[in-house]
Amino acid sequence: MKKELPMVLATIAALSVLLSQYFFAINQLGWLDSLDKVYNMMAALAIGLGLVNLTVVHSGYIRRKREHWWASVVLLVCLWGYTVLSLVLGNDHAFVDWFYQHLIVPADSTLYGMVSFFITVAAYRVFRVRTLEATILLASAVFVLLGTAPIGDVIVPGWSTARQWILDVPNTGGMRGIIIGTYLGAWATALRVMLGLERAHLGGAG
Amino acid sequence: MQALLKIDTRLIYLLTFVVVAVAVLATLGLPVRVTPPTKALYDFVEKLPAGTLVWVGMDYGPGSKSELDPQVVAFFHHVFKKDLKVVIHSMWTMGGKIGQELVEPIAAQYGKEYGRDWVNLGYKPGNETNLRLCTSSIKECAANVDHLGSSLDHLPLMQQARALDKNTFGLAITFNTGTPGIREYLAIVQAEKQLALADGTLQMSVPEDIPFFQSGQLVGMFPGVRGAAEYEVLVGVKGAAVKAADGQSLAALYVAILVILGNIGYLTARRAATAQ
Amino acid sequence: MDGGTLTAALVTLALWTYLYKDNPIFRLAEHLFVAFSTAWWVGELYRNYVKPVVLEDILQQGRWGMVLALLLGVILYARFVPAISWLARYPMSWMLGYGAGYVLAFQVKPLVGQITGSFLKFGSINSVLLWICIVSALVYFFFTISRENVAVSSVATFGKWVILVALGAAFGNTVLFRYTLLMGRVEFMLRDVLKVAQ
Repeated sequence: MKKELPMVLATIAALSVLLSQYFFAINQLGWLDSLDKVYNMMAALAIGLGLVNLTVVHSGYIRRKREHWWASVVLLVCLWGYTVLSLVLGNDHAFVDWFYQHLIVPADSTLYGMVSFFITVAAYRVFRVRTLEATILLASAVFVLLGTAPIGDVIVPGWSTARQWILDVPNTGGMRGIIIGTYLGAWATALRVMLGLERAHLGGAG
Repeated sequence: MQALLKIDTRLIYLLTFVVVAVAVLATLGLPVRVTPPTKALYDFVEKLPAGTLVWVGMDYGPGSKSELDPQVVAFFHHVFKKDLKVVIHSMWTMGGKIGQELVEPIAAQYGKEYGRDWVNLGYKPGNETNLRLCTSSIKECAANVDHLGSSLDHLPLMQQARALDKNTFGLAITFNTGTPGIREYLAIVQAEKQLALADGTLQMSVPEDIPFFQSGQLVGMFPGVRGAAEYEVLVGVKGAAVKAADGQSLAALYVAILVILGNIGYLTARRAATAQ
Repeated sequence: MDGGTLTAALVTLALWTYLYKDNPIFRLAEHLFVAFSTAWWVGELYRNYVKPVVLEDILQQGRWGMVLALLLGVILYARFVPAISWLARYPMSWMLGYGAGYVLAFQVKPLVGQITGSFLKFGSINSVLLWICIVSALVYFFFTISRENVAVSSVATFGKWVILVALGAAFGNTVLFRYTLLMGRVEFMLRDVLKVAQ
C-alpha cells in the first residue's frame, strides 16, 4: 500500500484537473481554484526542501572531509545565517538587500555570461565543413549570427531581411516539427503518470 | 596554415575579453532595422486606449538582466507614455524585485503613482497553477499581497484588476528566460482566456518562439536584446539596448572570423593529408 | 569605491578565475552564491505567500482547507527522516499527478494553434515552403516509417536539413545572447570599478 496509494493519488489529482477542464458542470463547482491554491502552497513549502537538502548534502561533505570541505562549512553558515536574517528582517531590509545587490546579482550574471567563453571555443573547434550536414549547420549559424547583429546589414545591405526569412520559413518549419514533438512527448509522460505507469518518483524511499 | 587549428583556448578567452571590452568602450552607432515581430508589438500597444490594463510577467532572474532589462525599460516607457496601467506578476523568485527596481524610476519620470497606475504583485509560487488561479481571481493567486507583503485591498488599481482575462486586460506580456515562461502563458492566458499575448524573450530563444508569432498565437515579440534596440528606436528612447546591439556586432564578427580561421586550417590539413 | 562595488567586483573576478582552472577561490564564490540565493528564496516565499495565507486565509477567514495544504507541504520533509520517508510519497504523488493533469488539460490548445497556424495565409510562396519544411521535419521524426522507400527517405533527408538550419539559427542566436550577458559584467568592471567607461 505504500506505493499503490500514492499512485492512486496521482491519478485522482490528474483526473480532478482533467474533469474540471472538460466538464462544464464540474468546472462550475470551482474546485480547481481551491486545488490550485493548495498546490501553490505546497510548491511554496517545497522550496524549503532545497534548504534542507543542501544542509544534508554539505554536512556529509564536511563529515567525510571531501575536497573543498571548508567551502561547505562557509556555505552552511551563510545559508542558515542569511535565511534567519531574511525571515526575520525581510528581503527589503537594507542589510539583507546588500547581499542581494552585491553578491547574488553579480554572481548569477557572471555565471551566465561565462558560457560565452565556452561557446566561442566550441564554435571554433567543432564547426567544420566535414560533411554536408555539418556545413548546413555551420552556414545557418554564421548567417544568422551576422544577420542578427546590426553589422550584417553593413557588410551586405539586406542581410537582416534574409536572416528574417531564414527564421520565418526553414527555422519555423524545423522548430515547429520539434515543438510538436515536445508537446506529444509531454502528453505521453503525463499520461503515464496519470495511468500509474510512471513510478520513478515512488522509488528510493521506504 | 595548419597552425590555425591549434589556437590556444586561453588565447581565445583573452581575445573574447578584449572584444567585449572594446564593445563596451567604443560606440559604433550602427543603424538598427526594425523587424516584423517588434513592429507588431509596438503597433499593438499603440492601438490600446489610454487606461487599458496590461499584465506584465517578470519571469526571469538576475542572470538574464543584461538581455531582458533593456526590453522591460523600453516597454515601460511606451506603456507609461500611452497612459496604460500595469499589473506585474512573477513566476521567478527574483523577478518581482527586478521589476520593481526597473519600473520605479520610469514610473517616477512619467508621474505614475504606485497602487493607482501600476502594481507589483511580486513572486508567486506554483507556475501555471498560479497563473490559472489569476485568471479566476488575482486576489487569490497573489494571496492578497503585493511584492512587499502589503494588502491589495488598499491599492485602488486592484479594484479594477480582478482577474487575468480579456475583459479586464488588453494585453499580457511575459519577459521570460525559459520554464516557467512563455509556454505557460500560451496555454493559460492565450489559449484558455484568448487574451492577446506578447513575448519578451532571450536572443537564444528567438528561433524557438518565432513559430508562435508566425501562427498568430503571439501578437508581437521582443526578439532578444536586438528587439529591445528596435523598440528603443520606435519609442524614441535612448537606452542600453542600442549599445548592446553594437556589442553584438563585434561579437558576431569575432566568432565568425574564428570559425572561418578554424575551417581554413581544417581544409588545409585535409588537403595536405590527401596529397600524402 | 564603496564596499558593495568592491564585493561585487571580487565575486565577479573570483568566478572568472575558473577560466584558468578550477580553484578554491572559484569554489568559495560558487558556494556563497548557492547559499545566499537559496536563503533569499526562502525569505521571499515566506513573506510573499506562506505568511499571508496563514494569517489571512487560515486565521482570519477560517479557510481550514489550507491547513491540509500546509500539512501536505510539511509532509514533503518526511523524506529526510528514514523511518517515515515513505510518507513523502503522498504529497509528491499528488503534486506530480496534478502537474500531469495540467499538461493533459491545458497543453492541447497551444499545439492545435501551432498546427492551424501552419495553414495561415496558405497560398503565398513562403507559406507553401513553410508547409513543406514542417511536413519534412515531421517525416524525419517518424522513425517507425521504413526509410527504404526512396520518397520517404528523400523527404526525411530534406527534413533533417531543415532541422539543421533551425538548430544552426538557434546556435547563432545563443552566441549573441551569451555575449550580451558577458558585456553586462565587463561593462560593470570597466564603468563602476575601473571607471574607464561611461
